[in-house]
Amino acid sequence: MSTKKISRRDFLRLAGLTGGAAALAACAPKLTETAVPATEAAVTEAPVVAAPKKAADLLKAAGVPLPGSPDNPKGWKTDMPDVPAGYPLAQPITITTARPTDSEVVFPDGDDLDNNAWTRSMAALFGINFVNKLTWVESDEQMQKYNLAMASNDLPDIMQGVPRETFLQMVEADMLLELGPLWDQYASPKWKAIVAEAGDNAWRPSTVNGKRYAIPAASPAAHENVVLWVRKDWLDKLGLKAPETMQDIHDVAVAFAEAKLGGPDTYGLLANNDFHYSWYGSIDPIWGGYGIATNYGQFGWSKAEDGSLEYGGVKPEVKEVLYMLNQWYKDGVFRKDFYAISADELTPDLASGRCGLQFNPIWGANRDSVKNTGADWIFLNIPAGPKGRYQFSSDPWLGGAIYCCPKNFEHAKEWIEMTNWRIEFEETVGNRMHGWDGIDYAITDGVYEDLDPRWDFWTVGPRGTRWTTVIDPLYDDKQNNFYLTEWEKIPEDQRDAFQAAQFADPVTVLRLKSKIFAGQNHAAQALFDLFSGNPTPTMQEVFSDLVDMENETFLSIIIGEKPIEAFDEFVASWKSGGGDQITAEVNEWWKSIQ
Amino acid sequence: MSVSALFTPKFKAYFQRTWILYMMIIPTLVLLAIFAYYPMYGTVIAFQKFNPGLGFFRSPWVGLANFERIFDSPTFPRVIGNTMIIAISQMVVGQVSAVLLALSLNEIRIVWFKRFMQNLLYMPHFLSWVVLGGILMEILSPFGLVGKAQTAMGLEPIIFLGSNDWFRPTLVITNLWKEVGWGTIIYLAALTGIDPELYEAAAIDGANRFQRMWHISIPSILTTIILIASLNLGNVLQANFEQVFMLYNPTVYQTGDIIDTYVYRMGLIQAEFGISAAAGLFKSVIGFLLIIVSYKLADKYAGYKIF
Repeated sequence: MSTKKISRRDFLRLAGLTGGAAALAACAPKLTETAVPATEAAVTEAPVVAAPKKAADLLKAAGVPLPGSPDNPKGWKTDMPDVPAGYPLAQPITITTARPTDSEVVFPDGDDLDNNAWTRSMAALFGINFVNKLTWVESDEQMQKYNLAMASNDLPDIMQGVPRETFLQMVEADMLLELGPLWDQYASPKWKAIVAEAGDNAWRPSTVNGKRYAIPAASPAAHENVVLWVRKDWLDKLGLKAPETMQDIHDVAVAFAEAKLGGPDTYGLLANNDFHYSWYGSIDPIWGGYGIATNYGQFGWSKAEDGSLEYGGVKPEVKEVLYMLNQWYKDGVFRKDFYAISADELTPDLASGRCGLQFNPIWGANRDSVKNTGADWIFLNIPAGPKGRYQFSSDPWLGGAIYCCPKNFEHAKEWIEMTNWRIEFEETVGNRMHGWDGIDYAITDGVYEDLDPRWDFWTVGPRGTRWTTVIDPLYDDKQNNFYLTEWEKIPEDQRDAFQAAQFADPVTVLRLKSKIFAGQNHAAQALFDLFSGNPTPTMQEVFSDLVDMENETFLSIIIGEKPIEAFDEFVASWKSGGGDQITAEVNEWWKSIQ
Repeated sequence: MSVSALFTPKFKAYFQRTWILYMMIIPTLVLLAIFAYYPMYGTVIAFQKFNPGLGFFRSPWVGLANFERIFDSPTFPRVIGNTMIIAISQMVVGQVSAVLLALSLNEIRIVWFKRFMQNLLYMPHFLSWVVLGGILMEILSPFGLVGKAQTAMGLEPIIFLGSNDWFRPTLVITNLWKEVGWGTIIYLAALTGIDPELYEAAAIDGANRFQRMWHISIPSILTTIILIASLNLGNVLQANFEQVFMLYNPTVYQTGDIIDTYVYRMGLIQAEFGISAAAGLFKSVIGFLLIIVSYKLADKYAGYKIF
């Protein structure tokens, strides 16, 4: 479970490179759509129907700097949509929040989570002040703090990242506001259209007993999807072809390891003790090639031939894969002690150039390995197995986040309307928001330089914040495509400083390209875990035992501590130890949502 | 007996003499009440399907369901066994080594060197397992210091943290390295309390260093040794969660999975507080019984009576 958090965090850390999360408003016409909620607001709220106000004027009047670098010759202009009627509120309001933070959430001198360029802008534009009530870094801490807030009946107004179990407990204790109807009333048409497109999945995580207790946010589509990263320089040195199939991967890996191209400790393919899906050095495409769905720390549920759901870990194909992985291990494809190493501990292996093949998202283009060992990474599609090319993917909405509010929260309308504006501002492709000159970046002599603070970590969701969530799951892809295709056309001497920086660094471009590539394959290659209900009763009781048994048995088979026959015993104990019962319960749920 | 009966002149005199001592106990009692006794009512969670939003009073009662889930689990016997084996070996090895180390430190006559060694030995105690875990994984990996040394000697590197044969010894030895220095403190204190005249007398009678150690040092600290040993009994079900959690992985569940790590995987990450409370209560009850036993043992063999 914690791996999931890490994955998202690390994703975010790198999201800045793709620029996706950082983009905002500029050249598109946008007046009309934002004006829509104004009429509704006028009906329900107040008699005032003021003309929409220019955002830039409001900021100037409040003495808050404008985003972007309009005055720099190498800068750009950041246009903002007009603020909807009725804002800024005549009587400013305060909304408390709960958010994740860590060492990457940094501020310029004197600023903090409650007072920074973003909060000052929101106060000036909307009359909404945000006060952060609780933060956490680790997921344990997050649950503890929410528990404490529950126990003292003092919940923050907007709660991000409430763990599933805690969310259900909050509903059970009748502490949450039913946000669904309010969202129906105040969300903009654009927002509604995006959510409608997602179908049932968008609301599934926030719906309990038919009531929608939270507002959904998506994670960027395909952000977990891996590509196969290969050391091109090693391939060339050994005169090898780029690997296409599972067998190719084995052969190339063994060749790399035997040639000891990365020193005496060279091995072939990056892997760790989470052999299902993991955020770093995953091997999920190997399972996927055999039609076995994976997930974080367990296998997934996929459709059997008769249309029912079956658990990946007990499919007969698993035996084939285990047999193969055992061979691979013996042949030196993996690090000798990969089973004692977790995903978090693998970065040094890349940085020091020990391995030449890896399944990773964009961070497979490891900067340190390029710097230290002159690695020349290329990315390829995942290999084909007997069942085709398949990889772990989570539905952007099921893997996203939900935002819930306590029962007595009075400003859901204002929060939703502010988010409407932010979607226009930040999720219109081609719009420019790279933060504030001198805060998030600096342009010295026409050269763009990233500074440490990241403004999007200061914001309040569901659009943005630490552990980036988006409203449109495809936004990042669209934006990245735009960067690569449209900006590439601009003659080099006419690019502004930000555009120039995007193309100056080969690793950044490589990452952008790999992300777009993964996005293009996403629809055809995604193998979802189809079970997205709450844990069933038997699952709650024995599933963690079954996963323990699975981890122990499978790893032992791969490293040769146990014979391959141990798999058959495992399947038998899995079934009799509650697995059959769980399968029945999962299918009951599956029928209920058809 | 009425209250006034307490205030006999004798009691008054006693009170006047000792009241300041009683006052000194008060802060401790207050702390104990707040941090040990007051939270004890939280034990009810063990019998509930606890929901923090509903609190202790409104969470639904589930009887012994939480205990049933723990005891019914097929892996539970293994987990209990591992816990006891790891805890007892750490205790035995830890104590024997601490005594030997204390005796040796006591024999060092150069004061600065003794102090220096003591400091050096205490230091690892202050490292957290979270930090140490990372360092050990690096050192013990086949790419690390130990693995390299083995490779250099032409041996196949042993993967200490991935082998069911090596995992427990690794736990015991790393814990020993971390805690043994700290463990010597109490014995060193006991050794300091020995009357130096005894040693002088023995020296005059021609006893050499080992004879002095055997006939004076050890008998003098024997009470302390037995006392510590019997008090340790209460911790038989208390293997070091942080240490195991940092170092283990699924391939060594068979020998390394302890009650706490098992309950962590089973309960805490799924917000099942009832399960962890039930496991905690179970350990406390067993620990309590063992402490009573050890109290009797301490009385019998060390003549040590607390009450």
